[in-house]
Amino acid sequence: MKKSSGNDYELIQEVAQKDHEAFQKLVHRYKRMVINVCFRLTGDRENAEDVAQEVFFRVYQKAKAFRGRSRLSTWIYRIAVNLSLNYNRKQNNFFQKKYPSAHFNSPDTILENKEDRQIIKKALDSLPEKQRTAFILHHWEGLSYQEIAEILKSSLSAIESRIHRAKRSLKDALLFMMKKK
Amino acid sequence: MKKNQLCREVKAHLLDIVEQKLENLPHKEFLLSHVKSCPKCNHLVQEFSKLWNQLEYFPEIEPSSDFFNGVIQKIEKHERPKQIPQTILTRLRPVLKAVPATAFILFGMLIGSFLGDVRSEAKKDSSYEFVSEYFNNLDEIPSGSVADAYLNLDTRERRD
Repeated sequence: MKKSSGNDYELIQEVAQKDHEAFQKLVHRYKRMVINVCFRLTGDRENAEDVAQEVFFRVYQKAKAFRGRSRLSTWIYRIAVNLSLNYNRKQNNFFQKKYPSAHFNSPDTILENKEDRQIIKKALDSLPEKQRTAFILHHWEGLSYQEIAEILKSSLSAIESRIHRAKRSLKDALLFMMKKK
Repeated sequence: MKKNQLCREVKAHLLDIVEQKLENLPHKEFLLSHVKSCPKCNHLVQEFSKLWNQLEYFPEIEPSSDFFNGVIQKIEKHERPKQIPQTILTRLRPVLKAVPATAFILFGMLIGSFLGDVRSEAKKDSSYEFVSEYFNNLDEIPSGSVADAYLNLDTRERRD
């Protein structure tokens, strides 16, 4: 009988040995987390799944390189963030076309007002990439500053500052757009 | 604090008001009561919190049912050896494979032949030079010298 992969470290070790069952377990464990972070960072519902699959492909390829210095989720987050940002750079359309319509268009969403959607879209769009990434990871993924610092390979103070500046910029942008409204 | 000043304070601390993080503010009570009494500030806080709260929520998406298969397909695509389309070049591949080997052998033979010529030429040249120099030196031996006597002795011995 196949032994069970209790913790994440054991699981990734098994994946490194090209264990199909362990890999399936790992994908099952992290697929929701990965697809949602890709969706939030790319703002592209259609391609978020493709980017997320690419993330797991990289995890499979690089499983041997995981040393266990950070948590497995942090390592996977890092891959997901890097691939999502690469996707944005390649597409060069971050938040420009797909962001508002693609992720705020579900019937149960609070955003009912098209004008408000536009305001939020523009406000998020106005943030620099580093601030936006840190903001999304903190605000929507609910990650701690320490975790974000590990994912983005930055210092804790840099992350604190980025998130603080992102919030201020968002506030200013929203106020400015409210005035115009 | 004047009314205008309080309005400015509300604007400055708008995010803290909306996120209810005013604990560290000494004039927190003033500010909150001003928001209640000032229609302009009240409207601002309400409008802003409406927008900010919308930002709080981000709908989650679910991976499709064949998500894992998609990952496996990516892996298989990467691990599968790349298939080269059948072109004239691929058909000629077995023949073309022999070309470098033949070229290498021919080149080796050419080099071998060239090196062989150089050696024989060098040998020829050096022996010719040695012999001509030897006879030139014989002509320069003065008659009556020990060397001349030795050479004459040698020829005399041969005659005998």
